[in-house]
Order: sequence, then C-alpha cells, then structure tokens
Amino acid sequence: MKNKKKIREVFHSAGGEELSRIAESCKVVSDEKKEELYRRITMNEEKRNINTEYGDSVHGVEVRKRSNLKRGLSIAACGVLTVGAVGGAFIHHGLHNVSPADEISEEVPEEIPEEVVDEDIVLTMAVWSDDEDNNIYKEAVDRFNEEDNGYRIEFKAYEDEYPGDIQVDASDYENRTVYFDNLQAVQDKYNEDALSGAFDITIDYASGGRNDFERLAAKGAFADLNTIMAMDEDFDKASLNSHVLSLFEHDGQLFYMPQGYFIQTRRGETKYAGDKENWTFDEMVEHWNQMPEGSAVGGGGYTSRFYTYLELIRDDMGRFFDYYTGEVNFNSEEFINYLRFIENFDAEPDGFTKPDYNYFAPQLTSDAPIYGFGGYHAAVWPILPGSDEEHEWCLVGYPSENGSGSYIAPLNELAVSAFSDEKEQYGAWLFIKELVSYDMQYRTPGEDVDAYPAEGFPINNEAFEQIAAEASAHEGEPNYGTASGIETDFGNVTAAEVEACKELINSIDRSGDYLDDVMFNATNEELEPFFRGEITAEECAANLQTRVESIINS
Amino acid sequence: MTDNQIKRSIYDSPEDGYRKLFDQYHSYVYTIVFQILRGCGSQRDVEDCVVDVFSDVLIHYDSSYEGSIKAFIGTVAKNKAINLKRSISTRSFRTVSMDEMEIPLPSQQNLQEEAELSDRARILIDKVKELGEPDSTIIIQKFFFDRDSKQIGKIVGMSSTAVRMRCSRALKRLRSVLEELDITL
Repeated sequence: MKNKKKIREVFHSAGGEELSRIAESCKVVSDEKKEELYRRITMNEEKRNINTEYGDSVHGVEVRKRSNLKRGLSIAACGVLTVGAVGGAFIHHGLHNVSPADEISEEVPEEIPEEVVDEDIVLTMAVWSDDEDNNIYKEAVDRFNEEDNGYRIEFKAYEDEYPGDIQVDASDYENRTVYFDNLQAVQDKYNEDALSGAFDITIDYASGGRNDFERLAAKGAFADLNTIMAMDEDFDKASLNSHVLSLFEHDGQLFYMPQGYFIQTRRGETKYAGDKENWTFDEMVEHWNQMPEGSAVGGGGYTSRFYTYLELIRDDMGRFFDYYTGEVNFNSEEFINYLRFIENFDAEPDGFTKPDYNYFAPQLTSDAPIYGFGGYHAAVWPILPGSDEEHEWCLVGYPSENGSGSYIAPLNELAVSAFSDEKEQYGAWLFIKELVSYDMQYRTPGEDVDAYPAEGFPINNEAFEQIAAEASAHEGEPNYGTASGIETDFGNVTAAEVEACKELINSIDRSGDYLDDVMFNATNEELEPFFRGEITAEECAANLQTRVESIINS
Repeated sequence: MTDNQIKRSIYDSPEDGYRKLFDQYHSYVYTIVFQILRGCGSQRDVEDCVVDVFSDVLIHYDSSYEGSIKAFIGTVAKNKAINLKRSISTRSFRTVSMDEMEIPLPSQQNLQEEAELSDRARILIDKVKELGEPDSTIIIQKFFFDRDSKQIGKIVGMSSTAVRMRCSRALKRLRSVLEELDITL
C-alpha cells in the first residue's frame, strides 16, 4: 500500500516533466501580471542597449548572438549605457537587485484593487479565557485563521467580564461567596449575549462555570447543526458517531456538537449488586436489603442522607426535568421513592458535613465515569489494592424505572448562534468540522493531550476505531502502579474489553449530563432541609418540583 | 504555436517573435522558477527571476539554433533560479548545500518512493488538467503555487467566494482519483 500523501506534498514534489505539465494545465499568472512582466523585460532591454557579441556559454547553455534579434527589441533603446557597463551588469546583475526592475515595479500596483478585495468574515467565539494557557482552542483557531477559507475567528473572553479578582483564596468562605457571586454576574452576561447573538460560536464553559447550555439551546440561542451540516457538500455526517449524536438531538435538531463523550455509570461488585446491567430501582433496593451490616450505598462508605443522595442519584438528576419540553418530574413516584429510600439514612442537622466513614465498609455501588477504553478497563479490572481476592464487577448504572441506567455525557461541546446569519453559521461549522475531523481527534492513548477532545471517546468514527484498535496493544502485560501506597498490577486493556465497551456505548439509549450551575445550586438548596431531617420526602419533592419549574419557565 | 513558427517569427520580426516566445513559455518559466525558489524567495524574487530569464534568452537565443526552445529556456530558467536561490541564501547568511541547489533528484535509497511520488504527481496533474478551466487553474494555483482564493480570484477573474466553491466542487470531482492515489487533502 502506498503511503498517504497530502495533495500539496504531491504537487510540490513535481519535477521537470511535471512542471511542464503544470504550466500547460493552468493559467500561471493573471493577464495583468503577465503584461507587467513583459513590460519589465522589454524595458530592461531598452536600458541595456546591448551591442556586444556573445559567443560563449551562458548559464550552461551554448548561445550565439543574433544581432537582428537584439536590434529589433532595442529599437527604442536610449543608447546611453556603455558596452562594458552593460556587459558587467548583465553578468552580475544578481537577478534580485536589478535597479530598473525596482524602478518599474513602483509603477505597478501591488495591491489588489478595492473592488476585488472581499474581506474575511469575522466570527466571534465565546470562550472563558483568551490566554494561551487557558484556552485549548487557541491553536486550532490560529490554524483555522491561517487557512484560506474566507473566515477569521476572534475570541470574546468572558474572563474579562469578571468584576473582581478571579484568583481569590478559595479556602476563605467569604471570598468564595464573592467569587461565585461575581461568576454568576459573568454567567448572566453570557446568557444575555447568547440570547442576543453577541457571538457566533461558543464553547460550553465560556462563562467560567457549567453554564446552562441546554437551557439556552431550548430557548433558541443555538442553531440546528444538522441543517448547517446538510449545507456542506464536502462533509459526510456518517464520519461521526450517528448513534451518539442522535442521543443529543431534540426533534431531529442538534443544537451543539460534542467533540467527545464519556459514559456515566455506576459499577457494583456482582456479589453485592448482582450481574444485571441497568437495574431498576426495586432491584437496587432488593440488593441493598441483602447487604451486610455497616454497608454503604456508595463509594467512601458514607451513610448520611446527603452522601447517599450524592452517590445514588445526584449525577442523574437531569433525568427528572427537560428544558426543551418544560416537563419536570420531581413529583413523580419514581423520584419520591428515591427520597424515601434516602430517608432511611442518617439526617445531618449540621448540614452537608462529612460524617465518619469506614473506607473498608462493603459498598453496593460506586461512581464509574468511563472516559475511554482505559476507563472501561479500570471499571472492570478485578484487582484492588491490598486485596488478594478477585473482584467481579457489573456496570449496573443508575437505578431507574425503565432500566436505562447509564448515559452518554457530552465533552467539549460547541454551539453556533441561531442569531448569526447563514454565512457566519456556515463559517462556524467549518471550524467545528475541523475539530471533529480525524486529524484533530485521533490521539495516541495517554500521550497526545492536544487532540480534541483531550479525554473521552472521540465523536469521529475513524479516530474512535483507530484508538480502539490500538487500545489493547499491551494486553496481557503487567502494569504496575501504586494506589494508597500499595503496589498493584492495574493490568492493560484487553481486546474483549474494547468490544464490551463498544457494545455498552451502542446499547445506551439516552444522553445526560451533570447539573448546570443554576440547577446544581437550586436543587441543593431545596434538598438541604430534607438532608437535615426538617422536611419529608414528599415535601422535598414538591419543593423541588416548584423550584425547577420556575427556573425552566423563566 | 510550434518552435519553428516562433523561430520563423523571430527571424522575420524579432519584436513580434519574442512576444510569441514569451506568450508560449512564460508559464513554464514561472513554474520552474517558482518550484526552485519555493520556501526561499518571495513572489517578487520569482518575478524578478522570470524577467531575468527572458532578458537572457532575448539576448542569447539564436533562432538558427536547432534544438528545442523549451529545453533551452527551461535550462536557463533552472540555472537562473538556482543562482538566485544561492544569492538569497547568502543574503540571509544561510549556507546552502549543492544538493539544495538542484531540483531534487531521487536518492538510491528512496528511488522507488520518489518514482512513485513522481508517478502520482503526473497522474494527478493529468487528472487536474482534465477538469478544464477554470478548475484546473484553481486547483494548481491553490496546491502548487499555494495561493489563496483572493489571489486565485484575480487570476481567473472570479470572486474569492466563487473560487472556494469551484475548488470544493473540483476536489469532489477529483475525490476518486485522490483516493486511488492515496492522496489526502
């Protein structure tokens, strides 16, 4: 098989015969340039006014003077230069330093006439920081801007909108409050801009925190990328993972492009959680009831209400409301059942304090976000530090009524403003297209962190498959590392794990994400009295329902 | 126009004949010079060199010379460009090896790869030529002469947007050829 070559590389390799073909195949210079060159040649000759005979070898070619030729072209020669001077000038004029040419070139406009110039369309891209160290898109944008595509991207950094010092001492509670208040001001400004078309492209963390991308999308801030992609004849949507993209679509519309994604799930040891993936709430309760005394629901061994909530459901709270339809289901029997279950754990009158815990307490499940094939391997690897026995794991997911336990979460989302005009939207898409190309998305596992996305599974199919093919290269080899001070063999990804991971991705039928900042704070506020033991599960669910409805409908 | 017609024209009317020679070979000369000065000289350097090549030819070409004009003018262009490259490199205090001064020749070691690349270039250029104007010019201007769509637009008399669109469509037409030759964009 031939080595793949870039088209430029092939053209640039052209030698003698090919150069002739190139010259024959195209118009090399504009008519104006051609005439300019010819004018310069004839004027050179006039100035030289050569009268000498040459019969030697010049530049490797045997030549002989034909006086009639020179005479013909020197008819209008000024005849002031001496033979010696001209002869010397001819031999040594150095090609680059020909003064007559310089004089003449000043008469030739180098600038493209005004009417021919069409400026690049400037696209504004919302980011948090314009700083090279804090803006992972800077390099990609620089590259995009250097291309001849008619567009140029300029950053709008929301860091600049932050009213105070961003570098506050996070350990000081008062400072932290100020920090987050100020950050909220930035997010408000970002939201206002998103809904008024102040930028053409945006990344998901442009406002400095987890902004409500979904809420903005539902409010019509972002354009449907499926429509824009369809305009691009050069793009084959099949190059991206159609299954994953479909999970982020709403009524066939795709309001943001995840450059990558990860699997959000929970794992449990089969001896406690069983071996059924995607368990229901009742199945989870059944397994919990069989756990030994002193067990915990989740990692860390905590047994308080808050930590049980955190382990059991917090990262799947988005399942109970929908920005697009306005539907809120915190008053559903399913959610109330969760709270009733949590009600069985210790209330925390002092708030969200960390109670004493037993690290070695048996755990029903633990958090298992899977950011790649290595993450899948880690989630199912049977050896634990300091343990002699082999542990068998099952990815049970979040307990749910319909058994749809795990979800696909987006990484490095990009959206295009619905308020930009068609040309701007198309330009924004061209940039996104580059970010989801194989060249940008393929990376050597664990090495190339400059790829987009730097973590997670790439949305580009070819990059995904290539990474998958390489993931199990060290199967069977030991992989020693240290955890909790104990040297442990963490193993390497196996081909079977790669296949199982692919199957898992294809089997997941929903997308989801961690709560945005607004929802995160609001739900915490409504849940806190419940965690303290001040209100019942039903009261808490009703409060959550009202609060979230008001956010969604605002 | 054939070499004999040009020679005849030069003999009968040097001014007219020389103009015909320029019309016939300016693209060829420009292409050779551009290729040699790629990555070293500016556009201005290339143009100066082209002017110089024709000035030399004007002075030294003998219309009674029986060899091919193309071979003659090609050799002058090559040698002039190499000299200029040396001159530019000296200006920038850069030492240039003799190898760099020549249009690269395939080494023994890479002979097969070089030949394969050359084959690919030939086939690609032929296929581009088959696209017809203005597409062939757009593709070659973009990928050989590395010009942007504004500059190409000026050459083919189109807006840069139209150039980009034609380029995109032309590449689509070339897609199967590119795939066959294992060439990517």
